[in-house]
Amino acid sequence: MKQFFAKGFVVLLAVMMVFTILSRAADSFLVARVFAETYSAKKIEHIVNTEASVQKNLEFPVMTEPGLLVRTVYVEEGSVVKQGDVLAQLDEEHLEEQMGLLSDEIKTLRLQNEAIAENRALAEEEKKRQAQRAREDYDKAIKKNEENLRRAEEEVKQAEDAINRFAGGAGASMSQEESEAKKTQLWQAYFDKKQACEEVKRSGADEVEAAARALEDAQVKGAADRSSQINAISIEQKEKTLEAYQKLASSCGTVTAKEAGTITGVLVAAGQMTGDTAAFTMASMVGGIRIAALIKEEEARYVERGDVVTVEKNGTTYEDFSVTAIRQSADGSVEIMAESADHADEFLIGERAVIRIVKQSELYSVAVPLSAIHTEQGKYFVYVLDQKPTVLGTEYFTRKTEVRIVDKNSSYAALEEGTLGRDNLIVTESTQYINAGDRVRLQKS
Amino acid sequence: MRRVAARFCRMAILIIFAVFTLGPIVFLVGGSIMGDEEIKSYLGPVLSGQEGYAVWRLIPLYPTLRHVVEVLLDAPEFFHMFWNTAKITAGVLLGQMILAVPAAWGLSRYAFRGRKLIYQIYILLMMMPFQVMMLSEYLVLDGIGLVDTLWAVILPGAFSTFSVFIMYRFFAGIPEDIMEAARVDGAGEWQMFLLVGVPLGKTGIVSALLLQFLECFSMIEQPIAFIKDKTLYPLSMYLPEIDVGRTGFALCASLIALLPTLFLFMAGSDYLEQGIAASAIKE
Repeated sequence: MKQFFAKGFVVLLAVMMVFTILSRAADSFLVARVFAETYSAKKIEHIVNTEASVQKNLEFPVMTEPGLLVRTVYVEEGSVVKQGDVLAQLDEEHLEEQMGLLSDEIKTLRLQNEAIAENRALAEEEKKRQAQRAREDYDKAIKKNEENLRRAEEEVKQAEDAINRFAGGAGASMSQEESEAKKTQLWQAYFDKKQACEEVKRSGADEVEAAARALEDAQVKGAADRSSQINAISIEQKEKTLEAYQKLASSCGTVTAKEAGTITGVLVAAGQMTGDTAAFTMASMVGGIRIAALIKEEEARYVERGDVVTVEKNGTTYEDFSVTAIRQSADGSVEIMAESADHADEFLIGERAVIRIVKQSELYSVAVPLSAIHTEQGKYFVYVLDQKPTVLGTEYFTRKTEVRIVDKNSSYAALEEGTLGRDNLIVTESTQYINAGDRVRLQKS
Repeated sequence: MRRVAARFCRMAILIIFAVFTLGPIVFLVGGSIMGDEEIKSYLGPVLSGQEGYAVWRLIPLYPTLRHVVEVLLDAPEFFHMFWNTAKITAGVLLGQMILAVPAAWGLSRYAFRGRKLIYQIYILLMMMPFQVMMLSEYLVLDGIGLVDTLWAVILPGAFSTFSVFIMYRFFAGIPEDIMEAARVDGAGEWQMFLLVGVPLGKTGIVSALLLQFLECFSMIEQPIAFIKDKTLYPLSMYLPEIDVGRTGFALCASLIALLPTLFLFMAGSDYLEQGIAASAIKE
């Protein structure tokens, strides 16, 4: 029995040794291993990285003459075309017909103009003649009026002379009664002549006035007639249209792209007539590349007009883009536009690319990796390591320290100064979930 | 008949005392396999000031090995301190074998001037409590740069006078005739010590070492006084560091800490009895 306990004592020591190793192993497995570092001064880099698409920069119409029958349309929306590429084919027969019609119209208008000119010359001549006659009538009326007036005045003078003679003694041989009667007669004759003279004056004035009016009427110009000018304008327009038709006819009725770009709209269809508006709309890269991207509202804080944008497309990086516009979208996101004056031939409208905008903050004196920041009830904190002597040696224990974030990006956070000591080891990573006061093993600092 | 009745009474009284003596062990075993909540419900008035009186169940309502697993697998510091204790104990016992056995042999077998005085000084030192010696020991240990090392506990233990006292008794009990016979056979002093004295005084040596082991294993004042470095703490200082809320764990750790002592006690109980009996013999 005593030997049993003696052996048992030895076995117990062996068992204790085994469990010593096991407990150490379990401890090393269960105790969180942490990476920690002291804070450092750092500029916080804000990187906005998102997908963008190439936008149309300059849109313009491709016009063709209206009223022409479209036979074939060769492109569709999004088609990339080079300068001179055929976009559509017009019906040549219809074009020829239209040209014939247009020529006839021009001829008709020209004939109309000739007729108008001839009629205008005849009318001018008739007008001139009427004016001449009115002038003559006017002159005659004046002359006649002057003659009639002279005669009437002469008769008045004669009557006046008769009175004067009678008063001068011609009537002395007459009795008083006869004299009075004669005097009355003379005076009556005088008044009659005077009245007649006034009548002549009045009627003569009326006649002259009538003649003058007739003369004025004859001198008035005829109604304005611009029909010939209008016709001339129409002719000019139709000639231009005809010239355009002829050009189309010389190119076999093809509508071509004036410069390279992407078709953004097709406004004609085969079998339909061309309209007054554009047949196609095109966007070209002339003037530079424009790309648009949607970013989150919180990212927009770090983007400003003029910021350099790095664009990556198909493994190629372009670094000469810059932000030209920032627009708030209705859904809360923010649209940014970036443009470059070059690379017109390397991008296609609608093509996808990745853009990257890097913005550096001021130098913050306290910055820690973002992985060190924890949050609880809306407050931020970090775990700081405290060294404490324990049975197993000097060990690290976590201590919760509340911090205020001044700025942060996806990797680092700048903290308000004063909460952390210069030598404080801040837990940045842990192999296990840790709490305040936990014993941890420092893996690397 | 009266003798049988008297014997029965004696047995009954002894059993009652044995039960009381075993009480802490039963408490330890039961508590080691009892859940914390159950322990709290029984010992609440003691541990957390709840109203009423503490109670105890011999067999837990919901036995669990959680604390055993915790101590064995989740408490490396327990084992660290256990081995610190083992180092201290081994060091002390080895020191005593080297120092105390020859000292006891010399005192018991050789007649020289001042022997009695030395022996009485030994007894005086043995009777002095640690608190009396503490300051002087500390000053000496600090002077030789051993404070805050295991040697600060091992060296004073190695020079303990109690073991010399125990072994003295046993060596003194070896008949002089045997020694004379050895001398006649040509044995030298060292041969007599190693080949005659040690084998014949084995009981004393073992009992002294066992008693010293028991003292070393539960030593607490010396480590508190001389060791500040927690990594050197012995197992006796582990239990006071356990929170009140981990009573089950503490009981289990205590039970496991008890095992080495228990095994050695059971293995060397005869030697212990003889040693204790020897220490009680009047000079």
